[in-house]
Amino acid sequence: MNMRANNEHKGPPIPGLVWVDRASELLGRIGDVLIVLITVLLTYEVVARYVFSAPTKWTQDVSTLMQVWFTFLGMALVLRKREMIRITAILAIAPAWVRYLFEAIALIVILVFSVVAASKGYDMMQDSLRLGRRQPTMMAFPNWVGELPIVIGFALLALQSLVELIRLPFGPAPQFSVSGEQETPAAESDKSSQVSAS
Amino acid sequence: MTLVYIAMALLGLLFIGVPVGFALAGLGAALIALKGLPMAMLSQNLYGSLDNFVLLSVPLFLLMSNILLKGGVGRDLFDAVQKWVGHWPGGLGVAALISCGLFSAISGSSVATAATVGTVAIPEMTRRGYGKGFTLGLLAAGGTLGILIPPSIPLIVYGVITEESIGKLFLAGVGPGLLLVLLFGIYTVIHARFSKTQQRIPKASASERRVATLRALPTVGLAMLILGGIYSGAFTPTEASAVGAAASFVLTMFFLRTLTWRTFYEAVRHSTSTTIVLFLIVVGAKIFGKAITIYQVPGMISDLVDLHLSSVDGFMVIVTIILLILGLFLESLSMLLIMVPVLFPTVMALGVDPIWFGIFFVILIEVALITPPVGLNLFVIQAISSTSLGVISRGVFPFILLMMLSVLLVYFFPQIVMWLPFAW
Amino acid sequence: ERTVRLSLQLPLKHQIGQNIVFFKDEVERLSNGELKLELYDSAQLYKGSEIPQAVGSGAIDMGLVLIDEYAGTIPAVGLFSVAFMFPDYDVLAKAASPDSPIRQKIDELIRQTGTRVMWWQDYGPIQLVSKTHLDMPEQVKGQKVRVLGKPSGDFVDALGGIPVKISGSEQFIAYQRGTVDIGMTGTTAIESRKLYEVMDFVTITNHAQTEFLVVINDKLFDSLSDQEKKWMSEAALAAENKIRAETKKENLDSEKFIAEKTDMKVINLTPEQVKAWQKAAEPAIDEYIKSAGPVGQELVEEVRKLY
Ligand code: NA
Ligand code: NA
Repeated sequence: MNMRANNEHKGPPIPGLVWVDRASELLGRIGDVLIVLITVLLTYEVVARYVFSAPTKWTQDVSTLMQVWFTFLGMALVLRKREMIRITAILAIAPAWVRYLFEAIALIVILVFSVVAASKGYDMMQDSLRLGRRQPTMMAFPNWVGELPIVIGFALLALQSLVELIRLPFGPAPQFSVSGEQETPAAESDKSSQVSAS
Repeated sequence: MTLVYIAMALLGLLFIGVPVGFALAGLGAALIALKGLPMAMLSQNLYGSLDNFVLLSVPLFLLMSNILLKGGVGRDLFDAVQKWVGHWPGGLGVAALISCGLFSAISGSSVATAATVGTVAIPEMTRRGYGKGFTLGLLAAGGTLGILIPPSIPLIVYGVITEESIGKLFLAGVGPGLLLVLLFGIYTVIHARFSKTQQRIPKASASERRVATLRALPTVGLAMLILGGIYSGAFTPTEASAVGAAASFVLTMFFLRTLTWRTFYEAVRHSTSTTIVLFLIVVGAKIFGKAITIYQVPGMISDLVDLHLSSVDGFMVIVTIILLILGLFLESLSMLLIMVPVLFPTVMALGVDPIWFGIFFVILIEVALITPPVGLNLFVIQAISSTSLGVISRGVFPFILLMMLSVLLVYFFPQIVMWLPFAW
Repeated sequence: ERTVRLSLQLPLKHQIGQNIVFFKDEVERLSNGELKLELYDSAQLYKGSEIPQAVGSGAIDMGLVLIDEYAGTIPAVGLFSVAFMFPDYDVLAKAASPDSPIRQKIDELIRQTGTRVMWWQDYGPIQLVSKTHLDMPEQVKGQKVRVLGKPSGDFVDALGGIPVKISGSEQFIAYQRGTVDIGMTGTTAIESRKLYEVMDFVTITNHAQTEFLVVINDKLFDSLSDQEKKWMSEAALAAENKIRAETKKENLDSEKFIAEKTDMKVINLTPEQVKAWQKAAEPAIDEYIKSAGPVGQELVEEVRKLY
């Protein structure tokens, strides 16, 4: 089930499309940095509490906020790399035109949802800015700080799914397998060294 | 009728290959819009589902597992255990099983456990004449202990959505986890009695044992640090995950010197992308859950249950059957995220203990991980061993039966689950 | 005919939930079923912390929320959580009564966020629980203390303790394992969450008050007919009076239960000890005034008039 289409589509050579890829790549990498930062922060918190008897008040709020950021910023890269979890039992045995069609439907669902989410997220953020909403925590961060990544993340995801949709007819039919690895031996070593959440 | 339409729409979206998170979120949004409710519900749930400190332990436990996997701690662990029990009948199998149990105590993921121990145990066992089907089945099933013996990502997610204590859930998983190790172990030894090809390995000398144990000690120390830290109250599960990730980094990078900056980065990247993939389903399940609440779906389900089965027994039988069937096709965490919000109101109404139900659910998730056609642990073992899914599936079948036996035991003897969280 | 949707994070059979059911029945009775309420309990739709925004944006019509959830946006409304702001329960009850200028000012502040307060649900005072005998503020120094939010965090800071935020569901295990040394919780929760099994003492400090609010989207309320507004307001007032009477009894019952049926020791403070706590907590009041600005100053002065 952790199945992916095995290839990232390349063509057509429209220059704008590559910039979307690069933006997704960049924001995704920022997410990597954030995860390492969270680890450091929370470890520091434990050390500060036990070794220096001086716990901080901010690590919990800040790291939770970072979680919101890395998740939404990294969505587009996950789509680009076709890493999302999907059921491919039918896709794996479907003829090429069905795979084109279903892939297009999947991308359209993501595109439409992302556009709605980005615009509603923008409304929410505007509202928070207007009312000066703050979180009821020790740090009392402004709410918009946690709402901004929703706007950025879904706007980028909308663009990325649009880009993938444009590329779809130019590439080969997307390939799926029940397990994701069977036909591509190169992926095996990679897969076995990867950890899923289950 | 509404119930049927919604279920059909969801299954339709899932089976044409819309990513699970977006199938849930998209359908949820559409249902909210159809009812003419403000779409502001959407944006708030996007934020609200991730604004959660407890959930943060998911990426961090993943990071820890990934670092340990890249750092190759599986070999040291397996070697050490083997030096102690390898000379028993079926000794290598028992060693693989105990290694799975030990690694489960530091990993929150079944796939990580199967991959880490499988990589080293499978070649060793096949070399010593253990049957392919049995070996692969044992590792696929043993790997599932990763989510029952704490820490456990599905238990964290269950605790977050039901607002039950993660600490209690973790403690509750210990008993059934040991029970499964015991059942699998007995089966392994009995199986060895009837095997003509398995070679016994010579008993290790005291000095061999000491050397191997010393090398595995840091890993065991890590498990003690995490579990001890949580249960002594030294830190919260989330802090434990961070400390664990940091400690595994220091251990593999500077002491064992098996991690490189390159493999470290790979570990980070995998953890980030896996977390995002998972959190998108968490978000989608939340939006879908809200939408079906507005449509009164959980109420309809409990009404159905009330009409047809007034007893806890009947309810649990139905739930078990539903989860076994869904588990054939659904990715395991998606199953938890989709079904818990639907079932939980009825669970509470019937007076079933929510901690016990969480453990029951996770054992059925373990089954889902090894039932074909879709079982993540089957795929991992397949990738490691380059064997057909059919061979692995046949090998895993006896273990599925043992897991069902454990479900029965846990049902009739709830103390297996409850003694630790409430006796501590 | 009109249907109003209300979200609450507690189960309907909880005392707070029962009060909302009473409101629903009352509205439907007064309006002869013309105005209907749909209740979504147990946080099926929203957590308490999400309610201000959910009701403000109209995502849901009505919601239940702890007053502290507004304190991030409008620090002045954190008044009832400021430790030892009220010298005794009578002053507190006066400040929270529907005709009190303090209460009206706070309702007005909350209305600026697009949510109108329908009624207050008094859920009783907050106490300290501990493993060792605790009656003087100095004993908190260097100890880890469970806090509920910013105002109680400031209080613990002022005493030289270490504030640790712990949710209601993790409370039991945090006390059992010693994650914190001192707990902070409502009297009734000691009974309902069985905290007496893991803590040995409860100090009746009554240092703050738990107030739940039931809020409604302001635009929705404005769009109601005068008749509908009247039904709602009348039912709300009835619900408020009902729960205030119940809460007083429930808290006394819990205190009695703890003293008679459990091994937990109840520590009542002498007037001198209360003075010492009040003095030690003063920096938290200053902190409140600092973050709440002139409105906060004004509210504190209003409270002092009631002394
Ligand atoms: Na585990
Ligand atoms: Na399965």
